[in-house]
Amino acid sequence: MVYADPPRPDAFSVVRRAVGLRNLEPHVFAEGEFRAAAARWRRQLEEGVVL
Amino acid sequence: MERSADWMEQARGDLEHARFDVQGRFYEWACFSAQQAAGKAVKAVFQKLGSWTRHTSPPGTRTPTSGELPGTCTRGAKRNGRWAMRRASLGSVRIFSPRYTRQQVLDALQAAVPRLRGLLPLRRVVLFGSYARG
Repeated sequence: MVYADPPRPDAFSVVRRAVGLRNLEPHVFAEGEFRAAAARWRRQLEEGVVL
Repeated sequence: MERSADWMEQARGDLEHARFDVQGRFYEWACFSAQQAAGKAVKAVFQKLGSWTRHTSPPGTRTPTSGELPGTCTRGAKRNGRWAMRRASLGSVRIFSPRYTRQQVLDALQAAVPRLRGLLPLRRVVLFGSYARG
């Protein structure tokens, strides 16, 4: 999940609690953080399901 | 192929994930993530040192071929001037299999996203990995 800047320290736990699926491992980024790491996530984004 | 930098980068990522787990009070996941980070960092060091062997070969007799990673190694020892790693015991590792179907995960996410938009200014939500593949 990508959310608008600025980065929030509670973002991961907010997502984890809102989704509530224990076996699902969320990856949560602020937009700036995601831009810096976007190359590493290209394949996952290509094969993923956009919600 | 020397991939110690890749292993170390992934180790840093796992450690960062562990910190998120601590912040979120997911302490058992923090332990798991930290263990993953430590294991990958050790693999990076062994690869940077330039040699390891897998359990299928006598210690110190061969170097890895392309694409061969020490994924099953947890213990190391220096023999004949080179580092050798032993096969891991898998008995202590518990593998959690997915409990949900792809549709169940999609339904849960679609229900959660509107709630999440009230908590976080979401820009993009993508499901990937084994759940996305079904």
